Amino acid sequence: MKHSHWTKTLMVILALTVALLALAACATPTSAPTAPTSAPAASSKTEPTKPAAPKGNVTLRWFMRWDKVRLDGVAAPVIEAFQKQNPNIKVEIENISSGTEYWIKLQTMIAGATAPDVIYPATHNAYALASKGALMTLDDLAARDKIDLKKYDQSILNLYKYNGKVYCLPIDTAAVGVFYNKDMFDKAGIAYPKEGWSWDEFLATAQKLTKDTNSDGKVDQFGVDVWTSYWPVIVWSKTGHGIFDDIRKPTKMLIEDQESIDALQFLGDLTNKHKVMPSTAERANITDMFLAGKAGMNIIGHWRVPQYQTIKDFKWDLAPLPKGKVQANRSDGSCFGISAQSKNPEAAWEFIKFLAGPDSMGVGLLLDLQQMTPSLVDFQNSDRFLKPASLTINKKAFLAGKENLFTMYDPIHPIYDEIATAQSAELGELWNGNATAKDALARMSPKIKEILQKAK
Amino acid sequence: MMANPSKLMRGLGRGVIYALLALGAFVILIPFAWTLSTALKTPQQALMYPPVWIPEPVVWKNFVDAWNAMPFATFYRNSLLIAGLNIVGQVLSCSLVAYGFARLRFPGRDALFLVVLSTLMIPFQILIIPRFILFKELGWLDSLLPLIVPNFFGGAFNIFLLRQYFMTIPLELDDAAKMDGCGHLGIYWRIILPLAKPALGAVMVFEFLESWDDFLGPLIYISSTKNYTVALGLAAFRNDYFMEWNLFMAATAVAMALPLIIFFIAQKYFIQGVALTGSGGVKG
Repeated sequence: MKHSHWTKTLMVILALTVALLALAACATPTSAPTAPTSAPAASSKTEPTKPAAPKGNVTLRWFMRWDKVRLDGVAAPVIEAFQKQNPNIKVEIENISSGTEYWIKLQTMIAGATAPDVIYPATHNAYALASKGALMTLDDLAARDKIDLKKYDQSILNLYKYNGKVYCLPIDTAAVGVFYNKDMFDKAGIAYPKEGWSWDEFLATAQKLTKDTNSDGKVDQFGVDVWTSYWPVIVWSKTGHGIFDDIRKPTKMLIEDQESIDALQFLGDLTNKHKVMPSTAERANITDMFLAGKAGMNIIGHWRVPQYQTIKDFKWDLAPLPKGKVQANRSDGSCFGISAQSKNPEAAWEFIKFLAGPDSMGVGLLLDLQQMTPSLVDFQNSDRFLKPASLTINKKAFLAGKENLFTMYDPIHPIYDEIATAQSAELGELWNGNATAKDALARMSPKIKEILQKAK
Repeated sequence: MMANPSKLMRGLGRGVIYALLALGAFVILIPFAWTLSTALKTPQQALMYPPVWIPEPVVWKNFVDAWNAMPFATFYRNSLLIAGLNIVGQVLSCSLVAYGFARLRFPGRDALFLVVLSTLMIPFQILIIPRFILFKELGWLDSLLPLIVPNFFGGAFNIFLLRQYFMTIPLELDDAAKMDGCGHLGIYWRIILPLAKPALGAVMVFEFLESWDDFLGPLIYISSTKNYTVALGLAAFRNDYFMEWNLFMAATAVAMALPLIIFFIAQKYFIQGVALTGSGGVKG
């Protein structure tokens, strides 16, 4: 894969340059403008309840990576409503559709001192920006405007803290669940999955769903579509711990214990031993076998729901992930932050409250589009999320495992890319049946140690 | 009447070569066929497993939808404008510089030529940020200028290609032109350029393809949709959540159409360019 190698080189060079420029510019940790210098949130000092409205006309640059549906369905109405309330703030949107390209362009802009005001990084990218001093901290602004940060699921909000300070408002979590084809279950005479089902039950279910319907000796209906890219999920579930000892300052990879090895082997066996999950070759270039009616289950997140809503040929629903030692799920997602270079931090703050703050319009509209699991607890429990008019599925399943949330980007430290490359190279051999989990980890281990050593 | 064995052998050999070429062509054409086939499918059929080759029903409307999903006409215009101006810029600047290296004698010429060639060794990634800052200072961000203007300042690869070609043109022609009162510019314009058409054609084709396919440049410099190129517009069809393969492939087919047409028209130059440089058509 020449291209990915190229992209990686580019990332490394950009990251280095950003780091150098940040140093050269002597990036002082930014604090909120007009922030109360001494008064912590708990003090009894009377603070203005109305935020100091930004004076004069300002234009905010809002840099996004959304698809057309979100741009039309969320971005446009949010901007319109926001400008009704704040006629002096103009919001100009710039959009790039894909995350990789978004990140390249964002780093170039920051290095070139033309950063947009409001940005939308993924978890680990947000951390990289925060550690370089490229994002404003938000605690003081939140305290001043009585924005209660406790309203966010705390294990999600924690991902967006650097040195204890919040630098980004999380909008969602990329929680995953098990989508299942009800008609297929009925036909095979299997009960629908319920909260608390085990991984063994998951396997037994997948086995019953796997069929060679036209008797040509080749499986053409699989139990579950490929979900190996979410391999950490099963490790968390079966071990109750994350992939590294510390997501910010990793010193040790924790998945060399027997429990983790078994968890990974279980996932590899789905394809190579039990044949209930297709191999990459068997899938060819199908975007989604569940959608095509060729797989009884699929483990994926809320973002895939809009596509599944177009299904006419069968009924489907959603179940929580199987439970291992614990019921686990993902905490990572995306967030809205303010660039440290922003000349209009006050206006940008007003805008991100509108997008991702408690009871915000942005989150509400996203919920209506059926595109995400919110990070705000009130929204998680609201009927707007759980019981929308347009969809009757068990949305609660996305919230299963709230007590044990882990980030897929582990560590969120900038070495993640390098670590992930080393991991997927070795795990790839496990998925395609050329290595046992034990061997794959044995080969991975020294590589990871070397990366950690270098990063110290 | 005996069959000539050597003729027979030659016929056989030719048969084998044709078979191999046909096989090669088939392999190369599969992705094109796949693009066209997927471009005509329903969304459901685009995701079918096992994959379907013949769309049923054939959805011509995908092309209309893809074209209307975004202001593709604008993207096309921008891409054409950039490619056209870049061709002019590269041909003019590179041929002048190449003429200098091929025909003029001055101290340090060869050292200077080495310096020009060594710029080929600099990875593009290293230049991204300094260039970005330069164009920002010039106030050219979010315009087509950063994608066009640098091409009026030559490029090492094309300079090298043209210089090598100019060196093969006999000096006697220059001398004859000098007799007739031509200066250097006259020789360059009346003798060298007309005789170097194959090499200039190769430069044009290379430059067109490079401009047309450039993605990183537009990605970094351009923000407003009105300045998007086709490559950026295509990328906008992809997102991190899902892929509308049928529309994406329809848009891809439309984006490929022009380079393909140009390739067929200018095939001769393209092949010559590859033969001239022995670069296998891979530039940079």
